[in-house]
Amino acid sequence: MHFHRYEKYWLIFGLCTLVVFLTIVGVNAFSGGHQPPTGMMTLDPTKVDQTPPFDQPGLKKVDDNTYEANLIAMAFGYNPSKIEVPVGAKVIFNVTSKDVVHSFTIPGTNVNMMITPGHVNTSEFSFDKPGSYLVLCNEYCGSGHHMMQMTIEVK
Amino acid sequence: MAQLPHQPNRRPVANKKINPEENQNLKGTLVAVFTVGFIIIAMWVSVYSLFLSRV
Ligand SMILES: [Cu+2]
Repeated sequence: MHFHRYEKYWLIFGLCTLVVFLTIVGVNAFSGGHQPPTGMMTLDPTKVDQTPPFDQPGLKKVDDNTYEANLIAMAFGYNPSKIEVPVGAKVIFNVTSKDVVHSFTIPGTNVNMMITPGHVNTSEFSFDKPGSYLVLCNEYCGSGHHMMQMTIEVK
Repeated sequence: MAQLPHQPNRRPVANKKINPEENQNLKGTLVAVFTVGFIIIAMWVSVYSLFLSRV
């Protein structure tokens, strides 16, 4: 097969950038643990209130500096609607939905995940700066979607 | 036959094998492709560094 000389240039250039992109993302994913929100746990969305850990939603201390926030998303809010976290704490968010697809998004951070009924999605964040963090739903979930929010107080 | 100055004579010379593709002027295409390529790289780098700054 014959290629024009210039055509070879941009094919090689394209392949090289592809290799570089994938290598950077791959190295950071496997050695730095940079991954999108994931979660393998499933549950019956009609029995969220009876299924641990969502029978007692809220913040739970795991160890010295690590907390687990088990939260329920529903139309149109989160349960609980406010949690308090000490400065510097690492929080693992486990969120599930009781009804339709919602999201759990903390603007200005990498916490931005879809919450689908029947699944538990997980993401984590270290709150190094004190303040009040807003959590929003960015998946349109119904007439009250724009009201759906909660706050994380970091003190 | 009169030739306009900006039109090169592309008639193949007899008894000489000429690849018609090699004669095409693709310099503009090359510049355009690399421009798009560098725009994609710049966008990728800025989005990825935004992600890393928030980790
Ligand atoms: Cu919602």
